[in-house]
Amino acid sequence: MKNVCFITNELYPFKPGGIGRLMYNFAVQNREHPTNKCRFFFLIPATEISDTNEIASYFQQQDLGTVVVTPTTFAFLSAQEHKLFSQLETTGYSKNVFMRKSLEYYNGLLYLEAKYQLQLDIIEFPDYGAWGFSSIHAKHAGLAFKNSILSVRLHSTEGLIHQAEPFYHPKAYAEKSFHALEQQSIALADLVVSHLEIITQINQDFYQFDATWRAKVVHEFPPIFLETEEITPKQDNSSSKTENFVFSSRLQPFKRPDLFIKAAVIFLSQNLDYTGKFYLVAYGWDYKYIKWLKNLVVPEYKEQIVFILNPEAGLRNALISQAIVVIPSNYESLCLFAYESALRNNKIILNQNCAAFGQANYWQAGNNCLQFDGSAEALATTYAQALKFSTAKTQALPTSTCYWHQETTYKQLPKLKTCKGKMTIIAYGFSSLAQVNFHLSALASLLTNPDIKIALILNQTYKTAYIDNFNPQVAIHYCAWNTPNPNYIRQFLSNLNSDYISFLLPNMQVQAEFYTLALKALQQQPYLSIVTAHTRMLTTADTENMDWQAGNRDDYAATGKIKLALGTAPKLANTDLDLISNCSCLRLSELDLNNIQEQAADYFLALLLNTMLRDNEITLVIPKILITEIAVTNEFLQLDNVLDSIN
Amino acid sequence: MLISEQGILFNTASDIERAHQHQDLNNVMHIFDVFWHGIRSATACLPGHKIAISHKQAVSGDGIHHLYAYLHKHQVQHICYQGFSENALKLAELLQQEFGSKIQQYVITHVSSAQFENQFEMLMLNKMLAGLKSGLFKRLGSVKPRFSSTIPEFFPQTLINLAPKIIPNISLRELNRVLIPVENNWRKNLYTNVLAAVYSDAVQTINVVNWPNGIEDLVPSDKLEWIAFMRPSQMLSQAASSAAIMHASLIECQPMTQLEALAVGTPCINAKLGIHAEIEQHPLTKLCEVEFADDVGALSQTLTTVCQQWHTDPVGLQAMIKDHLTLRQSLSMQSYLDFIS
Repeated sequence: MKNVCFITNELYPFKPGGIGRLMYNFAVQNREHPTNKCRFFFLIPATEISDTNEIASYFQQQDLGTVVVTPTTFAFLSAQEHKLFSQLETTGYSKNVFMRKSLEYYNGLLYLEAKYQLQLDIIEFPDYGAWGFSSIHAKHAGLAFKNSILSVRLHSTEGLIHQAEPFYHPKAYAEKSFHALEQQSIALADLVVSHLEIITQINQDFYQFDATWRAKVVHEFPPIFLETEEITPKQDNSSSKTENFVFSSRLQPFKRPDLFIKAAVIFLSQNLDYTGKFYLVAYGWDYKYIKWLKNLVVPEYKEQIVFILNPEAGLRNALISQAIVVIPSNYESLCLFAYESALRNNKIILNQNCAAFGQANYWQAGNNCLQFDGSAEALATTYAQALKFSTAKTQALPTSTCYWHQETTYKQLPKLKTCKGKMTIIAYGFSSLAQVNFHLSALASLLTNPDIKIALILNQTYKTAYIDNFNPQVAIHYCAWNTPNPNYIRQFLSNLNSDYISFLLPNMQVQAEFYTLALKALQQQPYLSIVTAHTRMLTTADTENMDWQAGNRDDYAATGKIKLALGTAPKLANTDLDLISNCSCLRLSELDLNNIQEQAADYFLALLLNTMLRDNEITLVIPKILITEIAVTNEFLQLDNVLDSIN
Repeated sequence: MLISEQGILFNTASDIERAHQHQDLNNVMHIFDVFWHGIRSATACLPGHKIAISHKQAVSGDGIHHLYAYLHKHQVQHICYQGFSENALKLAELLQQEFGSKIQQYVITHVSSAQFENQFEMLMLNKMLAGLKSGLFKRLGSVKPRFSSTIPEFFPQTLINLAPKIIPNISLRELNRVLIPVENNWRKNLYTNVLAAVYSDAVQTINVVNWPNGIEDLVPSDKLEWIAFMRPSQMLSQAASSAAIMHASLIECQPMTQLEALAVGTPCINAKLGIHAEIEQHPLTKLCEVEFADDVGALSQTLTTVCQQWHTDPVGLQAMIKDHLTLRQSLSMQSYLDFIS
């Protein structure tokens, strides 16, 4: 029996939302599956849902699956990671909050596997929120889920939602980082599940994914059905009664409740004899936006355009079953509600500009639905047509077998060609041999791996130094300075015979594990250009904390601060020099040596990395803290001072 | 994690990463004080489980229960207290109550009678002896050679300290640099060591961790470079970049500074230690040891000889150090096997 886990923060019937309903439908379908039943798990967040116990016992009683709540501590990661990841804010809208969420799910999946003593066969994330980021990257780094398929289902990323809501959002750092994380989660998923070909195309175009990504996409039409209690029998005399209109999507800009209202106002002003009502039977969380929507209703139509917020399910069903369903969304990836309405034999009005409606085979305008061109005026006209439209023709919904019920899913995953590339760690900037030895001893264990070499660039005054235990894997190069200038590095790299490189500076301490993980990932995954990890930042004052004597004597006692690696975020590459650590491992063939700029001085390395990120090179972010960086406190090197000196 | 959280630390990385292995000693538990650095450094090199406690703070209830579970899980039969305190005694009593004769407990002292001016040492020795008498401890041992002549109840054989186990490390060293990583007190003899290094023509740079105040009134101090107090890994790197370490002190048992230097291939100049007949006869001991701890001339000459050997026969010098470490290792393992038999 396959173990399948869904990551979700909605679950029908406890929270509204199409995704929660979809999860429920999968579970019901699986429960009834005659031959190939899977064991279902639902990993839900501890912080967003208050009645987690109730959900869990309901799902258990109904034999729908096991609901597991993410632990509130990062106990399944290392003690240091627990400490530092716990520092990340839990609420708000920032890069740290997004990354924390994905780390919570990663930790939660490790907890789930440990608690139930099993390996998950399939782990499915939604595309929204980059919740799969850390888990997917953990798999690529070889840390966990070795035999699992990590899939992402295309619902709607925030990136696509923001595109469909062009005037509602700032395009600041937080948004750009959120969208970059989402993009990277979908890019590196083992499998991408899409409900409609057109939505796959939209995602591919939006994120500029190539054919390799396209090959990972499977298309399937999910199970959609209504429960008995959701079907309210139509009243017999319905033909004589005035029909109402209902908007019952979430109150969110891209769902376009404003169009529903604007068109209603136009319609009512043109059809004074219409006595029916326009119901917004919906929920939403942006109360400012809802207030603005309410203000769109002109006072004379307040009786006819009615808001029923957070409706009880029975009332919602009753209202919908008697009404014409209007779905004016700009964007949908499928829209369960539209198909449920078709099952109810509702008259349905859809926005033809929404690709999931206008470009999907199922919806035939004038046949099983009416469509309008996206403007309020056209919608108002369509309202009038709908009243005269004979009842929609029932058309059976498409069906397909979910991938967890198929054996072939595993075979679809392309087998990657591995290569035996070599890594060179280039270390420079040392001001004493003690410093050199400190780093060499930390990396000594790596030299048992013939694919790893260390290149030391030292001040030529050390030419007379005696080398203990000379090892051909360590090469020493001399230059006129402690820190070679960018031209020297460019020259050095152009002569270097190595497949991957990583720079090591004295203020950075990198765990040997980082290089072994990175080497393996770069060897096995030819599409990766960069491998990085999260960083613990220390100040000079932190390094002077003498409490280490009361703990690990080889470590600094100060906890420090976490600096998260964001990975490939091309839209931030021009504004943030700290997207990834300077000691990230790079595929040398992807590096344009012309981007090593003399005038960038001490920032040349950060700039070099950023040009790679700007060019959309794929980055693997190992979800571990493997780098410790001591902030350089030399005030001449602080960014502001450098900029001042230029201006 | 810090000792302040539960009063106990289990197998902290720095206490196990440079430990040796021995199939008959890997399941011995060593309990030591987190703040007594020399003893902690010595214990870090031994095979076995490493449990740090503190003389300043009792182990918490959670910590004790964790220790019980740990001992059950690993079926530990021998526990050595490296150094002794009231908190170690308390723990020994609790473990005896819990495990009875399933676990044998031992104490190893790291003190010389010259240090008894600190009366705490005698108080603790008294408690160890009481524990031996009552059957709490099976045996008392010492790393101070011939300590059974100070207190006859102690095991007659000296327990031999190990050097840290280092992966054959590549390092770069300056052959005219020496390191003097000692405190500025008369026992550690800082001034003698510094003067010996200043007078050696083979030496250009002398790294000191503590500054010998006023030395500049006597001799030129331009060879001296002050470096900060170091954690063990930094100390090893610093030693690895030097031609030699100066560590002629007045009272010692088996100084870890010497063993740490040797572990990274750096000879250590010291005064006669008399640890073991075989060690005394070893050519490295003969090369690096002087008769009198305050003989500046002899120390300076020895240092010069050692520095010259880096130029004339570095391979021979390194082989000599390696051989010395091998000898130490076999003597040390045998001493513990005899002690715990």
